[in-house]
Amino acid sequence: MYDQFVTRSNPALFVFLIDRSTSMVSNIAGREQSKAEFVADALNLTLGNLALACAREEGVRDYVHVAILGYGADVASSLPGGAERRSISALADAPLRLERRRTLLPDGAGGVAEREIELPIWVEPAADGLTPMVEALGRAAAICEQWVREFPRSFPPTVINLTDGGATDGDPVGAAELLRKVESDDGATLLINVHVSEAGGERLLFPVSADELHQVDDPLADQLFEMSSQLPPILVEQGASSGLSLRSGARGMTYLADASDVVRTLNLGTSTVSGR
Amino acid sequence: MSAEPIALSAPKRGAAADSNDDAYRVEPHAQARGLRRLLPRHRGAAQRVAVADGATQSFLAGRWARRLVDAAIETPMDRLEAHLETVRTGWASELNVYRDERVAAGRPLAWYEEQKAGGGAAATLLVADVRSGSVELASRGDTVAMHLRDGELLDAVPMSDPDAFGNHPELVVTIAEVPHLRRTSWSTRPSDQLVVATDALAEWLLRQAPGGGIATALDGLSRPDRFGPIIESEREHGRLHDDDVTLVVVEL
Repeated sequence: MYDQFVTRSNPALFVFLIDRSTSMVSNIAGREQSKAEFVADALNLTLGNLALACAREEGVRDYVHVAILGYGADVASSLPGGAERRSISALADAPLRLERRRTLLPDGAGGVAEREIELPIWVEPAADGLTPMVEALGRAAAICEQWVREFPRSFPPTVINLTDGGATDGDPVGAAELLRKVESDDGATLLINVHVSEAGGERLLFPVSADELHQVDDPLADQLFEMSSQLPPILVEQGASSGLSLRSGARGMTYLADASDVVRTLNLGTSTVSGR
Repeated sequence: MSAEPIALSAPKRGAAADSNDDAYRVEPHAQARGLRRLLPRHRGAAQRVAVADGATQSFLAGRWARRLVDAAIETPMDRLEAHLETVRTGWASELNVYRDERVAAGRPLAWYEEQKAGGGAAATLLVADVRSGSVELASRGDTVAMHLRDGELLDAVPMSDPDAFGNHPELVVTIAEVPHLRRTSWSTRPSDQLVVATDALAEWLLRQAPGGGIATALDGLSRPDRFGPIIESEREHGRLHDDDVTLVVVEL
């Protein structure tokens, strides 16, 4: 399980869920930048890296398909044109624009470094409304179900949820469980939760057991732990090779993540493709 | 087994032949049979094999692999690194020519191509200089040369363990000085075989080594009409990684 090689006939699906609630307007820990702006930058960088990983001499090959759902005032696709899912070649050929930006990039040794790059922009920051995470998880499950029907032999879908708080439309644990039950022949859908912080504080990165949650003493951390998938060996190995000290059995979860943690977790979650 | 060298290559599954990022040359090659007869080995005539495996994620990897092979095929073994370094320093202008060609064709480089171009091109390289009674090897990366006698594997470089292959082989890259190549020499006897294979096929062949299975495998693989179907079948059964594959067999 979780060992299907990513090819054009067995492509990978990444679904990004972005919290766009009003609270995302405050600054992320470690940066003079709002959480919404930073998450949009980090996501644009991740999409750019995926396009680069899939680029060959004749263009970008569709090893990857992408869905992005924003949840705030509503739950809606954040892809250009509002498409529910796009191939990586379609995204690569049509960014909204290119911007010169200073941003954090993985340094290849587990850390990050600030560099100026020409950043293609697909996703704009937004922060307005509540946090309908349960609805977003349900929409993601529908996208993943459709995907595994089309590509049953593929590496299972990876869903990365970037949020700064709890759901306002019910208990997300059940919705997350339903999402993780969507399976391809190669395994169950992976759900990675990234809790972005404005305050800093006691971070909790990729815990293995619920006992580790005592150190942060927050019901939200317990909830995220329940929601998050155990990372398969291939991602634990990828994490180790990029300097993240992941242990066997680690959950795909970061609590009170600062800017660097967000970049590293996105990098890890997509390393089934970009790490090759 | 034919006494003429055999060189066969296939791209990844479902890919067009021109997207194959492996490159190879054998000189004198199979089409120049008369030339080989005119240049018997006892007069010191060498046969040269060069195989490069372009790192598919790098920009213009196949083109870089072909440049390396073209350079290696014609250069004395003791001047390989120096000549390859000259080729490497010319890569920037070659890239500019390519950029201009794309502009002229109405397809200027996209943002992702420019970013990839900045990261350079990369390929493995294996060069074999075959003479009467010896083979001299120079290599970098996981393209493998095997020395067979009576169907048995005597040696394989740079690796003989099929479990030793990984995703990050050493490479000759356009953005760093050409390093010293790994050097090996073999003493050979008439009717020994030199087999060169790029990583996926080398791993597959090395798994057949116990019990003389490489010779059996080569009997089928080295026939041009069987090569493609065997590769396809082994990929289908999950025994061979879906990668560009190249095989060169030289009877010594």
